[in-house]
Amino acid sequence: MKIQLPTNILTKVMLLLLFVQMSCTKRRDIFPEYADLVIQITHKVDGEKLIMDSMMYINDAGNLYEVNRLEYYISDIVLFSAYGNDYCSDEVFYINGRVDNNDLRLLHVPSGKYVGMAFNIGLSSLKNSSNGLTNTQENVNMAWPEPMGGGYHFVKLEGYYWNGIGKSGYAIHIGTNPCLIECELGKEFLLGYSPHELQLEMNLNEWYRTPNQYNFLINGSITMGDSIAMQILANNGKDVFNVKSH
Amino acid sequence: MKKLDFILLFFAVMITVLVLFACKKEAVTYMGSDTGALSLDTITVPAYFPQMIIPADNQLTKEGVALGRKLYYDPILSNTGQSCSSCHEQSSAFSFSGVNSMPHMNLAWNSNFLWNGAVAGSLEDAMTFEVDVFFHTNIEMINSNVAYQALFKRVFKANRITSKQIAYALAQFVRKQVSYRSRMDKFLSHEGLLTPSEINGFVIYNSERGDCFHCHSLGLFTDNGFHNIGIDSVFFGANAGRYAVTGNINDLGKFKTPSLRNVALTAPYMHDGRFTTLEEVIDHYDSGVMSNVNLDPIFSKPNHLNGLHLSAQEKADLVAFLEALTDSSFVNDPSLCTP
Repeated sequence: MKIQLPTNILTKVMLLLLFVQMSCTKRRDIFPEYADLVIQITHKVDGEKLIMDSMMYINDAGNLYEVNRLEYYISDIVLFSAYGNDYCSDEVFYINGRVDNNDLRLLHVPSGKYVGMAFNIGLSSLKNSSNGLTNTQENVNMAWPEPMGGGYHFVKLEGYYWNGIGKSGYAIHIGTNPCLIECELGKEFLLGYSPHELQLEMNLNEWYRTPNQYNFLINGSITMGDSIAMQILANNGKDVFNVKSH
Repeated sequence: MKKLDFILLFFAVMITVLVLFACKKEAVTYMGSDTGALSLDTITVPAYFPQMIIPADNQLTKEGVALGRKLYYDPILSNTGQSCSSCHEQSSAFSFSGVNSMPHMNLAWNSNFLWNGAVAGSLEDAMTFEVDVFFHTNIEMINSNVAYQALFKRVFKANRITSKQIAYALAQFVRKQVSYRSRMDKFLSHEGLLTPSEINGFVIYNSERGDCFHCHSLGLFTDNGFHNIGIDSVFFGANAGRYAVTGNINDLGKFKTPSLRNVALTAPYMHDGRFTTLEEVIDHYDSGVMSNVNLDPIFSKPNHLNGLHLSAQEKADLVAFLEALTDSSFVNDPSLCTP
């Protein structure tokens, strides 16, 4: 015997199914599976925007100084997921403080809630080998000489400071594997709709602040080849950055 | 340094360099593309050179390079009987002692030209400057030349030759002036050896002892930047350097880092040719650096300000290494000489 469903019930079921389908579609529009993350790098000195070539900054040691060159690498960015599935980027980003736009772009990052991030200032031992990076002019200029260990400069921070009598130069060059700077920052953010932006702000005075105060006149103004000076600065470098979101 | 220490360091450097460069791709070839009926041309360089950017609107073709080469050596470019080659001789790595011109060598990687970087941009921009400003090329004269009419028609499909096309042809040829076959390069590619003196010179060059590498980066042997190296204590007039272009007081006394490839052939040295020998140049860095407000911070190292204190042997080793940067293939390359 043929059973015929009441059309009014059939219609209701079809409408219900259509509603459910539309709802799912709408949720996917609001919360896509992947999104792009833009990390804007900015440079400040105790809250003031860094202005190059300007002798107007003072660190905790009382050194009056200016900055003429600021170049470094950020690599191995890890975004800590609230759910345990952390996102790891293998990319290496070259940053030049003279350039206005130092946006880092992480593409196709799984959407969701993140509770922090970690990254290196410099290159891990796996990446820090001579000619290991793409041979752009910038990377070639950052090369760390073979006789001194090879690989790349992690940081070049140069300029002048007042030595009490006149201007002296300083060249904070950090490199070699023991001086890798590993940073970790706690920051909750929800990544779910492209593009999302974070601001990573470097406070240059932190290089000279904690855990060890650094004084050009005492600790040295030229660090390359001085493993003690480099290690002090590398330790201080772990907290030069703080992170904000828009 | 004790003799045993030197021997150990020598072998350590040799092994390190050979192993590292053995594991890398040895060469990169850049090839023109989408050239229509013209023949593609290529440039091959070692993998340790920076990447070369070839503009999409001036791809390398054999016909374009040949046209650029013909123009390079042709006095028709000027109203004074001069050609590019008048001040850029192949035997001097395309420099010229008479006017201390910067060598036309590996310019494909430059974005600033001339000692003070007055011309910025691509090779095409630099050649446009040469055609329009330096030579004031008489375009009508070239347009009335039957041979050039046919050549430009073939390369650029031009019924009327323009200064842009002349500049583009020159840029294609100049882009081919690539030097990468010095004894140092052959050492890196396992095709030759350096002497102990040259190796020691390399160590001095590439360490804090001499500290040459910070500005004369390996590969191109220039960072393509601008630096004040303390050759004077005050800078004005022709010695103002980069300041004359930017007007930025912090650029006073800064000049472009020249490549040290073929440096043994490109005397005299510095922007004004004040040094006639490599020994004089090394003596400057060793003990002649003069303090001034814009002295590059690198030179503020105590050993730089008070002298590197290189021994006579170390100076000789450094000269030996610099001489090993001579590329005989480049200065004798028949494809780059007068057509």
